[in-house]
Amino acid sequence: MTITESLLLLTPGLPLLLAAPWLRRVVPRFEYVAILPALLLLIFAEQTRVDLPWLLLGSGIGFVEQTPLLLSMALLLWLPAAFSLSVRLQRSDGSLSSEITNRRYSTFFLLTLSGYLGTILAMDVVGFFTFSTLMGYSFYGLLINGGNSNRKRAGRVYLYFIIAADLLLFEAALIAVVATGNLSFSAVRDANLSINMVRDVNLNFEVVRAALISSSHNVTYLSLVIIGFALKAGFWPLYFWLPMTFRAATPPAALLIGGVPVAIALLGLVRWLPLGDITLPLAGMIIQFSGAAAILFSLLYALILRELKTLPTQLTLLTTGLFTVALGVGLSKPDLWQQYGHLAYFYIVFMSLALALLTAVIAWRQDGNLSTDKSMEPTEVRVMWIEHVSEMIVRRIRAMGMETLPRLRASSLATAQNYLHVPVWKKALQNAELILQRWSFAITLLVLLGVIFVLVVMVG
Amino acid sequence: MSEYFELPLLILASSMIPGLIIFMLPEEAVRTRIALNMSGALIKVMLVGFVIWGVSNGQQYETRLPFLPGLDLVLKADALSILFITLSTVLWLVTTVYAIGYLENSPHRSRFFGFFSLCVTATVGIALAGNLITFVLFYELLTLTTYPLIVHRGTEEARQAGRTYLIHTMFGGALLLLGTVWLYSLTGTLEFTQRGFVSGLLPDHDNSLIIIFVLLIAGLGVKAALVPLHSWLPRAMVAPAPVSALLHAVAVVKAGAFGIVRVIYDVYGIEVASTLGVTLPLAIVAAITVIYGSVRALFQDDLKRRLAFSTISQVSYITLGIAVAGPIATIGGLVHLVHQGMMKITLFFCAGNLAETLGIHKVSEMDGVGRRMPLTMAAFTLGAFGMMGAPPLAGFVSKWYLGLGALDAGQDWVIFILAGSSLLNAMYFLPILHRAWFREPMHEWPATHYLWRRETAWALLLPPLFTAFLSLLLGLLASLPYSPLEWARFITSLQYAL
Repeated sequence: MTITESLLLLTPGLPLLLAAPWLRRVVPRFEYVAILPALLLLIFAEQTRVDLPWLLLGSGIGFVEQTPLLLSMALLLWLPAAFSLSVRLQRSDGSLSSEITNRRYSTFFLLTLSGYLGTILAMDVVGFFTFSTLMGYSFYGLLINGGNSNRKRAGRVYLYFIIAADLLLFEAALIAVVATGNLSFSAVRDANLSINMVRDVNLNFEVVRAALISSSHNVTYLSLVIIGFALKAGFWPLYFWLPMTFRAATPPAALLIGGVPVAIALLGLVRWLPLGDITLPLAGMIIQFSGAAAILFSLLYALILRELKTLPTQLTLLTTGLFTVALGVGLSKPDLWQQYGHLAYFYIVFMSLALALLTAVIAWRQDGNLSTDKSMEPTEVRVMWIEHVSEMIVRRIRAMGMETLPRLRASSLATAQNYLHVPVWKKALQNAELILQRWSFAITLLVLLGVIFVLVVMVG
Repeated sequence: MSEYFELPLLILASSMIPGLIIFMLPEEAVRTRIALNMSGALIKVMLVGFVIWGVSNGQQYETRLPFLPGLDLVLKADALSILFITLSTVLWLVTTVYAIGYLENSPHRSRFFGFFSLCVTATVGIALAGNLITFVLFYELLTLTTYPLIVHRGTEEARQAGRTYLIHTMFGGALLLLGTVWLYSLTGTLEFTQRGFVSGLLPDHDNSLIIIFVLLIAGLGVKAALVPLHSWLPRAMVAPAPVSALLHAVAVVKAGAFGIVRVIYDVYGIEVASTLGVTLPLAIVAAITVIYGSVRALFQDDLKRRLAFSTISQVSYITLGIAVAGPIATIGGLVHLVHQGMMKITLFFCAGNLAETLGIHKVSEMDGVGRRMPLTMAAFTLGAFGMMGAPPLAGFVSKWYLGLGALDAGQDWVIFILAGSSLLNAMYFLPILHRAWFREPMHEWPATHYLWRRETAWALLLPPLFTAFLSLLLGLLASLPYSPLEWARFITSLQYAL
């Protein structure tokens, strides 16, 4: 194994190992040591790829054209974060509670770092998905660790979004396999080939992108990928978790919001989508529209809420809106993406660094340092805009004298609430369970007879 | 008669003989009992290792003993049986270590470990059965040997749970026997055969074959906990943790699921089953079970009951994969037989540790428990994420193949079932993790009295750590030769003649 290959494995591997607390105890300055392989890789590595056919479903990592730029971003982002962690650890008051919080914080910090570096180096869909899942869940831990109710709510909303995003991206990855034709068993059988064909699933980004050009599933894939990563990046109108997390996170975690979940989601879009290879004018136009709407919304947001603490959200919405427009253009006019697509990587890097800088400055102005455990707004629980808007519509309609709609809404909500009220369901299911236990023979026989009857009728 | 006539018998004997001797031991003969348990488990691991090596090199292992006129008792090691036998052998070893620690000061240990060994013997017999009648015999033996384990505590609740279990499984066994006898009367053979042995009865006996299929699946579905035949499983949670672990990961529910695989592939054959139109209804029942089990798990505050409903849901993935009737989904279903076992046994070991060390039985009591028992909760976290299908854990590999298989077979609706199930899994596992890791403890935990401030006894701590590590490795190294995934591919290639 060459030095580059070893460094490639160590870059996400070392932080992952150091996440184990007992190992951290024997490594001084572990927060900097964890980043060291990435730094060495950046300095010494040559372009190379390591295929790991034994890993997961066959995976690979590599140091390719854009990797130095992305690794530079990683270092510029994570070194201050490591410094912040270091200060935090030094200032610990030595109490058991603070020791536990710091230990957990360090673990999530290192797991997030490992996932982050892994996504940068991943060369295939499954590898990227795996590392981004690790990063997503660990970042949740980083967000809510030792937090107040505000931070927990923000973390909970963020968690909902990443679970939904991961489900969509999992489906997209399955479609990618179908598109590449790796798993067509009928083809395998017709060609009299071995089942081992399915072992050689190749989901390298280039292969997936090439396969999707002519695939009939490309629109479904495109939709799943865009919505999946939009949820992860907090694109407008799916941005609910963004203002909450920016407001509630501790400064070291807030520093990473722009650079970790948002930037990696944008990177995912660039890597997963067949941009520059496929022409989808209608989809491109819709995406451009949503990007333009996001820009408009962010400007309105800035005009209405002239507060310093909302600035990171405004900037994120603006930059991701601009990125969405570029994506749309890339899908409508692939030649333009081929010409300028590489700039997307620079955009991601500068966006994440700018967001980190902005967050740091705001935190500094508020608390005078970057390591405090105070969130930007510790107590107030904000109502989401969607809740405001629905309330406003109802108020407006009521003012117009149309009482029917609110009444209808109220009665429907009450009915729905009855059905959705958990104890009612719980009771119903519990009763069903008791009936099943008490009358198991009768019910089983009845079900059996029913099944037999249906099957006989179907066959007959 | 094959060259290694006696090997399947030896595998059975390696747990049966220690079990029978243990019954005769006095309670205080702790060391002898441990020595017998451990040596039996280790010998079985070695024998199974030898069989795996032999089968992968084309060796045949078959024991045939006369039973009834025209019917032999057949024990045979084929690719499918090896998948199940390896799981039960490895997990028996681990569970034995755990049970020794768990029942350290309990009464009736000789009775417990005696039945424990016989239970594994029955499970191995099910795995090795070469025809349906041998399968039925061991299937019933499993019922009889697990009943004393469920009622082991001797409480009224345990006795009631045991009664429910016995009634359900005996009823299931009767249906299975009825189907078997009817099938024998039509075919004159019960030998498991690759791609089935009933194709000659088509098209004249279509209706009979459908009814027999329903009888067999209903009989097996009781142990596999298919809805609405699942009610015994959550109640059986009163059993000690090692028994719960064994029931959910190795023995009972797996025997049911394994039986369904046998019926579809080696009795009917997938093509005949598809022609009869029985696979789609089975897939629908499995899908309902997947969702129902998860929804029920959401409402359980008792940790073991939550895990029990999770088992009902997860074991049906196996049936779903097989019933989707495509080679890739079959790989997913077969590999989940192993993966679910590994992840679920981890979760039950951890639940047992919490109960035994801190007296925690409910999810609502778990606030901040990660501080007191970090290693146990780390293992639990890996198991829970595996169940949710998060990469790179074993559950991800199963769901990946099930999803792909559904798409390949043109049954896209299965994708929604998988997605819904993953979501529900997240909804009932993540709150547990949140409580354990991020909430403040409700009160001070009792201090540890173990050496080096260990959170609990070695015998309780090492098994979940080992199985959690294996759950990670099974996903991470899924593509290595001899991994369960590779073995499932091998079985599928035989079944589909690829």
